[in-house]
Amino acid sequence: MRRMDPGLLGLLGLLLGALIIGGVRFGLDHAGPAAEAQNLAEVMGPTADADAFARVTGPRPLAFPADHGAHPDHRTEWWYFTGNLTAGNGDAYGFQLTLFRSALAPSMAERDSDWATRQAWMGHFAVTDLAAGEHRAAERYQRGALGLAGASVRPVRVWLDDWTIESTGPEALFPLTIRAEDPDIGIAVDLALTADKPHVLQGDAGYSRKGADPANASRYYSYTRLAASGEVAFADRRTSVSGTAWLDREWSTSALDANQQGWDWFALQLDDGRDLMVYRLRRTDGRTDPNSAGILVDPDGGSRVLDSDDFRLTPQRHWESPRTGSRYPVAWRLQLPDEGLDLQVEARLDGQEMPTTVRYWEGSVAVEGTADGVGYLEMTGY
Amino acid sequence: MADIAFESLSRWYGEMPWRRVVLDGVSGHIRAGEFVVVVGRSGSGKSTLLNLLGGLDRPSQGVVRIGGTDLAGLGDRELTALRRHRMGFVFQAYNLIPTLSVADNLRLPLSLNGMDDDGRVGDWLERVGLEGRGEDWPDRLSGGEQQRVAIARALIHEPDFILADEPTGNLDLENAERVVSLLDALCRAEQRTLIMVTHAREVVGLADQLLTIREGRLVEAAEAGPAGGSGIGAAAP
Amino acid sequence: MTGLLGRIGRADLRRHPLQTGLAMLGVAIAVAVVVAVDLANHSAREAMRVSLESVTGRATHQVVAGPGGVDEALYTRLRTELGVRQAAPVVQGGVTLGDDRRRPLTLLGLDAFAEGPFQRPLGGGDALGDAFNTLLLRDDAVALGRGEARRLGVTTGDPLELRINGRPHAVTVVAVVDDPDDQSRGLLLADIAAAQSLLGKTGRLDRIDLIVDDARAEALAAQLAGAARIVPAAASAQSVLQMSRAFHVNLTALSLLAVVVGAFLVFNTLGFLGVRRRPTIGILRAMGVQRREILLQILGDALLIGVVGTLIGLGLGFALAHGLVGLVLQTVNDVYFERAAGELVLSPWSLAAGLLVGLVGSVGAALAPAREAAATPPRAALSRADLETRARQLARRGGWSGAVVVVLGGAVIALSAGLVPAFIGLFALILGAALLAPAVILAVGGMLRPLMRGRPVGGLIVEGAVASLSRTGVAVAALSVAVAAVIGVAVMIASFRASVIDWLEGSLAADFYISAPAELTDAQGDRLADLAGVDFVSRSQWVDLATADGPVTVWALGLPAGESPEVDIRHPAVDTALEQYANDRAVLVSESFAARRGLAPGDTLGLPVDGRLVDFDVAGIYRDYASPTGAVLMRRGLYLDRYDDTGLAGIGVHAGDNVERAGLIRRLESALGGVPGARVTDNAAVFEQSLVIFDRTFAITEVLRWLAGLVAFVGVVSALMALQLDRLREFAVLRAIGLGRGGLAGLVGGQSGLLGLIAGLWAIPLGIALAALLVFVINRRAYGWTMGFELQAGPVLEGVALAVIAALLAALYPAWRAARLRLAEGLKGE
Repeated sequence: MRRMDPGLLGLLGLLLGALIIGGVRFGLDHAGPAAEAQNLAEVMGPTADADAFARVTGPRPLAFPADHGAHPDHRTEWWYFTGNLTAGNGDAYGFQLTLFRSALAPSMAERDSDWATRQAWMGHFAVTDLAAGEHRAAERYQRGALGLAGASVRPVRVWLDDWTIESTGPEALFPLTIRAEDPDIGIAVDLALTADKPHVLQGDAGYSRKGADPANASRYYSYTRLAASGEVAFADRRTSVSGTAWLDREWSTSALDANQQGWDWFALQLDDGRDLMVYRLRRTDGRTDPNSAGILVDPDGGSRVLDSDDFRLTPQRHWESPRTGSRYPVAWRLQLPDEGLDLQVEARLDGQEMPTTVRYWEGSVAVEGTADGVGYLEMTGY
Repeated sequence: MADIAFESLSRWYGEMPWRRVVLDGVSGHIRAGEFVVVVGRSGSGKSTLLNLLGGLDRPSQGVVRIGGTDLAGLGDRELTALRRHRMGFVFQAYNLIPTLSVADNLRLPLSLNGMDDDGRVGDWLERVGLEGRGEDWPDRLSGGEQQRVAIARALIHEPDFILADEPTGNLDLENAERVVSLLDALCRAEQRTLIMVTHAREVVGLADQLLTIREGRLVEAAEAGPAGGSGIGAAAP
Repeated sequence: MTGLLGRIGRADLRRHPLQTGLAMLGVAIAVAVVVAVDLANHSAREAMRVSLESVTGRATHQVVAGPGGVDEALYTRLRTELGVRQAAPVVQGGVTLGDDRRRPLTLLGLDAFAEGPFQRPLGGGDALGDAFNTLLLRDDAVALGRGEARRLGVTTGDPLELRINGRPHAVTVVAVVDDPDDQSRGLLLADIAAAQSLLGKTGRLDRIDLIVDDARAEALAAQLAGAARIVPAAASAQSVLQMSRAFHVNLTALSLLAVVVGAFLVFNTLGFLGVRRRPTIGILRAMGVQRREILLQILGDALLIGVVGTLIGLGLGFALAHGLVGLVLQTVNDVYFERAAGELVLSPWSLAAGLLVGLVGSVGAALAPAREAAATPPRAALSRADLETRARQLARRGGWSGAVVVVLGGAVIALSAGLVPAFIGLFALILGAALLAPAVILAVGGMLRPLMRGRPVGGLIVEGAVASLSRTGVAVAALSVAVAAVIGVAVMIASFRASVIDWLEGSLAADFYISAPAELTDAQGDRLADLAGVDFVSRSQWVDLATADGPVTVWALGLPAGESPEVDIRHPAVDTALEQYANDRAVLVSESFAARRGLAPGDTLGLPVDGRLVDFDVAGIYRDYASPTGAVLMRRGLYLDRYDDTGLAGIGVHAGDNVERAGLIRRLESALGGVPGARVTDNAAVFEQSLVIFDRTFAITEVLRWLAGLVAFVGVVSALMALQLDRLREFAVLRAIGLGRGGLAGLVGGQSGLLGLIAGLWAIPLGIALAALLVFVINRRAYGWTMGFELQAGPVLEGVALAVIAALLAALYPAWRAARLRLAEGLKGE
C-alpha cells in the first residue's frame, strides 16, 4: 500500500479532517483537529457559526443545471462517482472518484489576490483491480481559486487539478466524461458516462434529513444507473472497459446528531434493472438511528423512498484492516421484506479500505440472493 | 687584603615552632692570606657558614665583617659588587656556564670587573694546565679539568678571598689532590685567603686554621701550621 | 615497575607545575582555536543552509521568468493541464518591522495546499493548527517561528506593524510555529493570497517550486518555453554556498594556520619533557629499565598533558566559537546572504579536529624527543654540547629542506590555477619558512658572535639564544609563522582596503543617490533631471536573473547620450570596450563574474530573455568589489529592449559645477515628496557606509589574525619561560661570581628579546610573501578580485613588536625568579 507523505497527511488532517468524514456521506459541521477522528459525534456536532452558512431546512425545488454546480454558501458538498466495470477479457474493476468542496467560512471580504478563497477542495480517487485482488487510492487537496479547483455550469465542469468531471453539452449533465490519473501509483480512469435513468430525489424531494434537528439535513439527489465506457488503468496497464456507475450529489451545512457514530451505505444495481440505495446510521449505543433511509428505483426510473423500518441489515463477516486495525463488516444480509428482497451483499475484495487521511472503507460489492447484481459499499466509524 | 671576622653567626630556616637551626652562634676570625679548612659531617652547617662568609646568603643573626665592613650594612648591589671584586667561588659541581667556551668562562669575571684580558686568560689556562683548551665547551672537559677551569675562573680577577665548597667532592683521588694543591699553591703565591669546605680530612694538614662544625656549632678552633699535619699536603709541589 | 615509573613521570610534572601548566595551556589554546574556528565556520554554513532550505525546501527545480516574476496562471496550467503534482507557488519579498528596530524580515507567501511535499519549516499546515483557516481567509494574517516570535517579542494574537514598499501595514500574528532549529529566522509566513496583496504582487509569482526528475523538468521546460524557464532549485542556493565557500576556505586556512602554530607549540612544549628528564632517564636505564618503558612513560605523560589540555581547549574553543560565529555570520550576511542567522551548531568534525590536534598532536610531538631520550645510553646521558651540536646539524638540514619546500610551494602555486593548490602552496611556504627558522637563528648567531668576542656578557646573550636551539628552535619557528600571518593578513587587508577606496572614489560618480523601498520610475527620474543644478541623472535597475548556474545580477544603467559608465575597465582598452558597449548588444562584466564564468572580452554570455537564452557579447571586464558573485552591466536601452521592466532601483544625481549642495538636497527632497520612503544619500555617505561594511566584513579575519598571534604568543612565552626556568642554576652561578640583579635580568631579557627579534625579523619577508600570495593569488582565485599591493610600515612593525614583546614578556617571570633566587640554594641546583 502506498504511504502518504507524512507532512501532507498532517496538513490535510488539520485542514479537512472532519470534512472527509462528513464528506464521505453526510454533511460536515466542524473542522476539528483530529486527523483520524473516531468519534463522529465530536466532529459533526453543530458549531457556533453553522447558522452563518446556508442550511438545508426543508424541501425546495432543484434547478438544473445550476444545482449541478457548486453551492458555496453551504459548508460541504460533493460529486460522488462509483462504479463497476468489466474489460473485454472479463477482468472486473471498481472505481471511485469523489470531489469534495468545503467552505472554510460563511463569507469573506473582497480581496486583491486571485488566490484568495474560502473554498477548499479534496479529491479521492480509487481503482480496484478485482482480478489482481488489489485496491489503490489517491487523495488530493486544492484551493478553490485561480482555476485550480472548482465547479461551473454550462457546461457542467467540476475539477481539482487534472481530475475532471465535464459535461459534453452546455445544458445537460450527461453525456459526461470523468478523467483522473495518479501517475505515482499508476491508476487512471477516462470514462464516458450516460444516464440510463433520470435522477432521483432522495428523502423528501431531495431534503434528506439525517438527525433529530430538522436543520441537520442535506440536499441529496442521485443518478443511480449510468452506463460507463472508456478506459481504466491499474498499475499503469490500460484496459478498455464498460459497466455501470452511480452518481450521488449532496450538499449540506450540518448533518449528524451528536449521538451518531458512523454509517453503512449501500448503492446496489440489480440485474433485474432495479437500483437500491440504503444507508444505516449507527448510534453510539450501537442501535440503528431512525433517520436511516434508502430508495428503490425501478427499471423505468420510478422510485420509492425507504425509511429505517423498510429494511434490515445484518453483518455476516468481518475483515480486519492490517493498516488501521479497524474491523469492517464486509459481508451483509440485506432484507427488504415488503419488496421480497433478501440479498447477500459481499465485498468483491476485502481490502478496499481507503488509505486516506480519514479512514473509511469504500469498495465494490457483489449481490446474490433473490436478486443478483453489483454495487458499492461505504462504511465509516469503525 | 682584609681579615674576615664573624660573631655569633646563626642561620635558621622557617619560623618558630618549625624553626630549623642550621648554624648556631658561630664566631671566629680569619686573617688575610690564611688557608682555612671547614670540616664537619653532611648537614652540619659548614656550607652555610661558607655561604654567609662569601655573601651568598645572609645570616639570621650575627655579624660578618670583612676588613671592618659589616656585610649586613650592604645592599644587594654592594654585596654583588663585593663578590664580583673580592671573591672567587669554586663549587663541588664546577658550575661552569655551559653556553660559554672555556675561555669565555674565564673572561666572564674579567668582563664583570671591567678588566681587560691582557693575556690573562691564556696565562691562567696555562697555570691550571689547560693550555690550548680555551675554545672547548665545558662539556668536553673531564671533571678534574672542569674544576681547574673553575679555579682559574675564581682567581682570574685577582680576588682577595677564594671560597671553595667541597671542590674535590666529585673528583677521584688523583684529581682531588691536584685541585687542592693547585688551589693552595695559587692562593699562597698571591697571599689570598682560601676558605675551603671539605669532607677530606687529609686537606686539614695544609690548613692554617681548622674549623670543625657539628650540628651547627663550632667545636674547636685549632691553629695548625703548614707543616703541622699530614696527608695530601705532602704531595703538594 | 611500570607503576613506579609512571609515578616518576607524574612527579616530574608536579615538580614543574609552571612548565606543565604552560604545556597544557599551549595544547589548550591550539585546540581551542581549531575548534572555535571550525565550529564557527560550520555553524555559519549550517545557518546558511538551513536558511536557504527554509525558503527552498525540498524543491528540485524552479520555474522562473524575467524580472517581473512568473504569471500565476502558469501554476494553474502546470496543475490542471500538465498534470504536475508536486508544485508549489512562492511569493516572497523583504519587509521591515515598523517600529524603531527596523528589523528586516522576509515575507514568504506559500500555498499550504501545495506545501506538503516541500517540507518547509513554516509551510506545513500541520504546524499551523487552527490558524490555517485564518491565514487562508485574511490578508493580514501571518505566522512565524517560535525563535523569531521571541526575538520580536510577539505571540499568537499580537498585532505587528510592518513597512512594506515604504508603506505601513498592520498584520496579526495568528500562529507561532515550533521551530527548534530556528530555521525560520527572519521569516514571516503568509498565505500566498495575503502575500501577493501585502507585497503588491497580485497576479505574479516569484517562482514555482517543483519536485520532478530531470527528464520531466526538461519536458516541462519545452512545454513552458517562451513563458518561463526551469532551473535547478539548488542553483541559487548552491551559488550562494559556493560563493561563500571561498570565504570559508579562507577562514579554514586561517584556522589551519593556528593549527600549524599550535602543533609547533605542542611539539615544543612536549619536546621539553625528554630533554629535561635526560639525567633521570640515564639512571633508570642504568637500573635496567627498558627503552620501551621509558618511551611509554614519556608518551604517557605527553598524553596526560594532551588530555588535560584538550579538555580545557574544547571548553575554551566552545566558548570562543560563541563569539566567532556571530562575526562569521555578520560577514556572511553582509556579503552573501542577508538572512543567514543561527546558533552554534555542534559538529562532531570540529570536536574531532580538536581532539586530533590535542591528543594525536601531543603524543606525536613527544614521540621524536621521547625516542631520542629513551635511546640515551645508561648513565651516559648525552652532554648538552652533543645535544646542541645535533640541534645545529638538524637546523642545517632543516634549512635545506625548508628551502626545498619553499621552492616546491612556489612551483605548486605557479603551475596551478585553483584555490586549494594555492593554499597548499601557501602552507608549503609557511612550513618551509618554519624549517628555515632555526637556520636563521644560527646565521644571526654567527653574525653576532664575532661582535661578542671578548664580551662574555654579550656573548652570554647571543650564545644563550643560539646555543639553546634544541629548545628554542621550534618556538621561534612558531613565532615567526604567527607573526608572518599577522603581518601578511594585515598587509592584505590594507591592500584590499586601499583598492576598495580607489574603486569607490572612481565609481561613486554621482553626487547623490536616490533610493526608495518601492521601485522608482522614469517619470521621477525625469523630474529630478529637470531640477535646477542637476546636470544629469543616471538610472539603475538591479535584477537577479535565475539561470541554471545560479542567479546572475544584471545592472541596467541608463545614462544620457554622451555619458559613459564610470567603471574601472581592466580589459581590453577602455575606449574599445566602451565603444562596443555603447553600440552593440554587448555587456560589461565584473571581474568576479568573469572569473567565475571564465569569461574574457569577446566571449558571449547567455542571459535568459523571455524563457530563452540570448547571447550577449562581453565588451569588457571592470573592477567591482561590490559583491563576490559579480554583476553584468548592461545599457538600460538594451535592457528595456529585452526585458519588460521599467522599474528603477536607484537614481544617481550628477550635480552641475559649482552647485550649492545643501540647496540641491532640499530641491531633490521636495521633488521626491510624494515617494514613500525615498531617501537622498550623499556620495560621501555611501562611501562611508561601504567602508564600514568592508571593515565589518574583515572583522573576523582580523580576529583570527590576532588569535593566531595569541597562540604563538602564549606558546613562545611558555617555551622561553621554560627555557629560562631551566637555567636558574646557571643564573645562580652568575650571581655568585658577581653579576648583579639588573645584569641578570638584562641577560634573561636580552636572550629572549634577541630570539623574539630574530623571529620578528624573519617574519617580515615571510609576512610580505604571504601578503603577496593572499593579494595576487588567493583573492584572485577565490573571488576573481584583483587589487593593488599596499605595503605599509605599520603592520610590519606591529608584527615585529608582537614578537619582541612576547619574548620579553616570556622573560619577565624568569628574570624575576632569577633576581630573587636564593643563591645558596640555587647553586646546589637539582
